Amino acid sequence: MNKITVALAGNPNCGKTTVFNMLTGARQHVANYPGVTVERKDGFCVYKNYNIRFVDLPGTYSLTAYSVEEIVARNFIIDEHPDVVVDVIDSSNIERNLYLTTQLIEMDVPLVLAFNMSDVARHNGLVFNIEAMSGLLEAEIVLTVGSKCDGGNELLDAILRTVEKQKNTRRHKISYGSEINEKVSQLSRLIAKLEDKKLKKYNSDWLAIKLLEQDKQIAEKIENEEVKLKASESIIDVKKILGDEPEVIIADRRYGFISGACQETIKKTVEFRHSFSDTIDSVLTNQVIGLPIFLFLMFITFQITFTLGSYPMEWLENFFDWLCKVTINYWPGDNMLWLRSLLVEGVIRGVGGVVMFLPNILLLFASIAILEATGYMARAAFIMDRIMHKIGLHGKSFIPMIIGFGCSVPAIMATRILENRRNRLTTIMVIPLMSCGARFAIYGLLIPAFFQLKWQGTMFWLIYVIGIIIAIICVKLLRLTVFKGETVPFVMELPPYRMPTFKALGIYTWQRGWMYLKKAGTVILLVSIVLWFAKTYPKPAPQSLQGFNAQQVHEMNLSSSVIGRIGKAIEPAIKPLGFDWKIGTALVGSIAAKELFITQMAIVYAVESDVEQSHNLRYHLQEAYTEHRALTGFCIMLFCLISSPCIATVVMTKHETGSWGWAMFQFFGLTILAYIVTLIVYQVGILFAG
Amino acid sequence: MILSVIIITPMESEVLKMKDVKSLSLVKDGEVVKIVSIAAGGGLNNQLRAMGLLPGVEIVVVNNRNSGAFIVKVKESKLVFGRGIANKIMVS
Repeated sequence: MNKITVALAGNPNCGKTTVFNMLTGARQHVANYPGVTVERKDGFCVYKNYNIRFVDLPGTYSLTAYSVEEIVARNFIIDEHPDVVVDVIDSSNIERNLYLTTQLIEMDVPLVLAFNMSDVARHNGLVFNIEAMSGLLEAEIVLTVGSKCDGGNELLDAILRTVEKQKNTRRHKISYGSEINEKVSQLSRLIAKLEDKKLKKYNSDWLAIKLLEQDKQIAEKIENEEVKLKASESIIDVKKILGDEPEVIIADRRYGFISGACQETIKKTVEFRHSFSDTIDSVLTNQVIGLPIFLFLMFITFQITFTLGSYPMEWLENFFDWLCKVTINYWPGDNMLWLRSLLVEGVIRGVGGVVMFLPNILLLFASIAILEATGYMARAAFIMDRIMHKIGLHGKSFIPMIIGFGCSVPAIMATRILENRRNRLTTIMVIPLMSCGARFAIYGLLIPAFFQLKWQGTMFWLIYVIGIIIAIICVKLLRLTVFKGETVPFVMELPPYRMPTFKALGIYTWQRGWMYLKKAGTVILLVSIVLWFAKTYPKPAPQSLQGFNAQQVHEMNLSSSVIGRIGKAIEPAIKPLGFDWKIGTALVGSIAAKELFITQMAIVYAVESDVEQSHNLRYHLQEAYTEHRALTGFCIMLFCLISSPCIATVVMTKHETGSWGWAMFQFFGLTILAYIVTLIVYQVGILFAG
Repeated sequence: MILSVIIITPMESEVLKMKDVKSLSLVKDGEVVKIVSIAAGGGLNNQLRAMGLLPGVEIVVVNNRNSGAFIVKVKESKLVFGRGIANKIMVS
């Protein structure tokens, strides 16, 4: 069995992923390239005695050093030497797509071109002379329709033929005009003579071109002074003679080459002005109704995710409850009750709490996948951009933030749709300020407990709005300090509208769901177990509990446990906020998951730890906090709103940003902010009330 | 030490003399114009080029709202970008 590696390159929106899916089926693995947050997709298939590993490179418009995706893509080609590179091309948009092809030709890799979306091209009246074009580009060309699984075998055959063929040097090199061609060969000769081992893996012609283009990554790799001098002299010469930077002229000549090749080999048989996509766009991006349509679609996405998803969520919840009951009922005798408690309250509750959200996650990502695959996402970014721009964010940031109102974990995962790193980091940092579902439950407990009926509606609205306002302020601050820099100029392609395939949606949704299970699940499980130990041990000596009633025993158990002690320890720090040690324990506990705030409060007041019966808890809270009741209630909510996101969020932040540093920044940053804001509010409030 | 001298070449002065060169942001919906030059630095320039926007190319303005983003058609693709970029593209 022969083993080969094939890399897939291509523009964004060219259907590369669909072709990848066609070739590999569900046999894929998604990860990150080391050190960067660029996604890496590997897959494989077995065909005619070959075991083929496919690597789906990030979609790029070119292979320069200007963006991390491009660097990752070209580094892969240079460092890992795939046996073949398949360039997936949107044949309905061929001239722009071939720009990337010219750069692959310059890298002198064994190339196969997949003219994808050939059905659309045919529909648009384009007729290709495949043989002639194949000759000019010196690469086999296969017509494919990825979405219909058409052309897969032909593509595989072409790949194998290319692998088995002897590699000849190209006959048709791209010409940049005599002046630049000369500079390239002079530089290339100089580079070829260098003894530098690190440069051996590069084609010297390619290095010469990159140096003339002032490619930052390559410039750093060349240490030889003579070469560097020759390069800068050549650049100045070209500017003098031709009036422009070599970089610009080379790009221009590439398009010239493409234009020439296309003119000879492509015929347009239908004259075609206004397309179907244009008609839809005139409605969807219309000044007046574009925005309402977008908000409506967001509303639907939300409904699908959280309302529709609540049914399977309930089933899962019931399943885990049943699991708890079974464990308790079938437990052999009275031995090792601590283990039973650990399993029920630690493991099952912990894992259950995370797995329970899986249906929501799947529905959410299915919705996003549909929006993205049809091409609507690009229009949404365009519509929201003006508003988001005023805050300092990109139009696309709106979508993860809306999701954040349901749950921060999938919202942070959703920031993958933001290409700009600074933008993405800023959005991730403030997503926890969008009051998530768990916080909603907390407000649902506290507002009726601390406020009179006529104020309750207003308070709900107020706390959500405060979250948004603080988020906006934080974004502005972050943009001025940590994530300083000009908002990256916004250039985006609006791809033609397309019908997504179920297969692609299914694979994409499942991949995201699995990622969620793995990451949030493992850490939450661990933390739940740790928390269980922290709230159960150490127990007070049984003798000391003699003579106290159930309520008091409960309180003593709690205060001797680790969590209780931490609560007491931080009490002096949180007193200026109007909190006592009981609230302190609840806050500490809620770090694992915000819902645990309610559970912990229930434990503190020794009621059934069941949210449905929280009206008991409400009563207890009303009794306990009679002084400055409204203010205390408000401060608790404020603190819950702003403070550290739950562990699952922190872990997801680390996963999406690639470093614990950012996760900690988010965690501590928000907690400190919560402390300061609540402190000010409480102290000022006391002044007015007192 | 290398002394670099800025020379306005014959080609550039031709450009300056051309009539009707204006910023893309002033072009109305439906008009077809040709790009003359782009006043942008390395990274942006490269991105625009790789997406098909470079001097000599014909584009159609699809949507020029008076505030906010800009949509054009280049060959077969539709691009959207901000007003800042539209200001930097000179067309005629």
